[in-house]
Amino acid sequence: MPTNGSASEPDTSISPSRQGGSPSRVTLVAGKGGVGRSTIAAGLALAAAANGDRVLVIDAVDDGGLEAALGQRALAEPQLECLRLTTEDSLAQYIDLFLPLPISPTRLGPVARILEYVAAAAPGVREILLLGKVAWELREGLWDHIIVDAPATGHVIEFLAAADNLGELIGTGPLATQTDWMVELVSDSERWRVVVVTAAEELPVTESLELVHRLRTETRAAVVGLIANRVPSFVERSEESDQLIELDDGLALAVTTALERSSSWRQQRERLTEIGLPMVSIPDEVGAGESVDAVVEQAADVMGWDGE
Amino acid sequence: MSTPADELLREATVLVVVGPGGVGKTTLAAALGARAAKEFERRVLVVTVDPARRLADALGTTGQAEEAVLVPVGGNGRLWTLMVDMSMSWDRLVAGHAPDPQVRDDLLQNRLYRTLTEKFVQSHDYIALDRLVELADDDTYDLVVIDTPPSTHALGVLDAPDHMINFFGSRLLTWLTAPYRNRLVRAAAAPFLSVAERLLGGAFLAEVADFFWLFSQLQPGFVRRAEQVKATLASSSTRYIVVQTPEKQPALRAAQLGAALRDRGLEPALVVVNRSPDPAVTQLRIDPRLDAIVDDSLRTAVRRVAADPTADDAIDRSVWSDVPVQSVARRSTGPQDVAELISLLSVAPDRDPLE
Repeated sequence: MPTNGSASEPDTSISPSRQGGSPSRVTLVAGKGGVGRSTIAAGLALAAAANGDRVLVIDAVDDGGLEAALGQRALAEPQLECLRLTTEDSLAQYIDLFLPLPISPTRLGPVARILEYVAAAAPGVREILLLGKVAWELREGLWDHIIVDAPATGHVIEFLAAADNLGELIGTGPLATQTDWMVELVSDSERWRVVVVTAAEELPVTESLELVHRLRTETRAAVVGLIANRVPSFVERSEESDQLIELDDGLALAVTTALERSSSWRQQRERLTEIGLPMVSIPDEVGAGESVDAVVEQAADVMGWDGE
Repeated sequence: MSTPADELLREATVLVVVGPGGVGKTTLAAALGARAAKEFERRVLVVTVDPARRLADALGTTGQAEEAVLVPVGGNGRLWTLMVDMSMSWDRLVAGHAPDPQVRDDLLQNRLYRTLTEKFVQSHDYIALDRLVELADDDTYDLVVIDTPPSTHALGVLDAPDHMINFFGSRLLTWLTAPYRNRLVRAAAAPFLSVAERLLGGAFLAEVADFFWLFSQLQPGFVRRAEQVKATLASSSTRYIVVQTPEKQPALRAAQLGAALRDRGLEPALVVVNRSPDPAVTQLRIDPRLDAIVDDSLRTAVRRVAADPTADDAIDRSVWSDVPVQSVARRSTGPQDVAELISLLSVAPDRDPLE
């Protein structure tokens, strides 16, 4: 599978111009760790590629989760490329793309390592590096979709807010003219979409609602929809369930648990629908955790979402 | 019946609890300590970092930081808990190793220092272990259970002392602090500084350089200390407990951690599979009564509940070989008091069908 750096040296055999239709767009897949974000991002990418679109999917978390979720299926999609971005890679590419310096990116090892320290302390450095890379890919127009398995909740806000800080950071020096296009690109909210992934339980739902609110008030990106992951199936209390619960054994416990999960999800779904966003639910079925198939099936919908 | 955890709780002097984030490590560290004090009459200190509110309440330690607090467990054993405060611990380290009061004060006031010690995950990894050095030798306690913070990478905690040592030894630090030392070196550092300046802005860079210069003053003491931490971690009296949940991702992370321990010549002493489903439920997978449920949606939902992964599903024997496994039952609410904490570990483990 193509990995580090391969996407920055595009295959010249691919037509550099778009073949018409809508301009290429970035979809950020956001959500708390552990909600299955990588699986969703992989599913969206595979669905778009199966639709004939050219897709770049970026692992900005750098834990290999995205590649694992894509698995062998990615090999069958020549239009799909996966890129894993460490801070070191982002820095090398950023310098390569934006700073006309006589310094080889391969010699940046120690600089990048110190940046690991500094990036953690200076809010936004890591995000700006990533943003630079994504914006560059967007400008090159080689992809119909750029899907980003985004870093954890708070970082997504920083990532998108980095667009606004960019001009300030670069100032008016010789770099300003060179990066004008970038500032313009990242300000174009029609090309930056966010899909929020949530788990079906109370606490993750609360956090997702907060995230949507922050995205809407603090960034210019369009929050286009929600994906509820691992959603339990609905069960109604019935004469049969009452009888089974009376058994007072493992079966009774399982029936009680199933009813509890169902009623809890009913409440949480209510809260999620209140914010008026399109929503897709990925069912929590036996064995579904093992594959992205369930996601791919529903993902075509999501990729067509246009936002407000 | 004695559980694998009990064997450790009877004998061990230092237990390091490691595992991926969100698996209930802190709760288990407290449960291990409470059980050792109550059942085996030991004098136990549980060291935690930023514990969840409810657990602090259960232990009766709300609001107390940097001070060992005695928690009543009954019987002849004793249980203390110590909540490590990141900023205070770092400040104390700095105060202990600074060559003079000027360097100490400048560093403590540096904005980058404050952010790093408060927010930087790797600094948490290190400070949690730093406390081990003195506590392991403290005669007040005959067992120290240390709860490590969740780290971004599996190896984070174990490699923290090396990171610290390497950091001080790096050429980078030489480069970064060069402008403070002499003009010749400054010329050599120019390419790096110019890259960094364009990237980060001049004012910020000055602050960065300032920080690293001050920090480099602490080198001799810090390096010696980090070596001591390493030695404590590698000591044969330090045992490691890996905590995970039965789900695929945490299980995978835990297995990586186990491998990382072995790479360093450390054998995991126990794997705890926390929040394991009730065996009575998962046994339904092969129960014919499940197929007899008439209501389609109910049958599907019950089948899903029965399919919740178990400790056996989560433990890959090719990775863990003969490391003992103990499952801890999933509960609908967290432990409310010390008695409930102790009971978490009291159930005998299920027979391992692989044996």
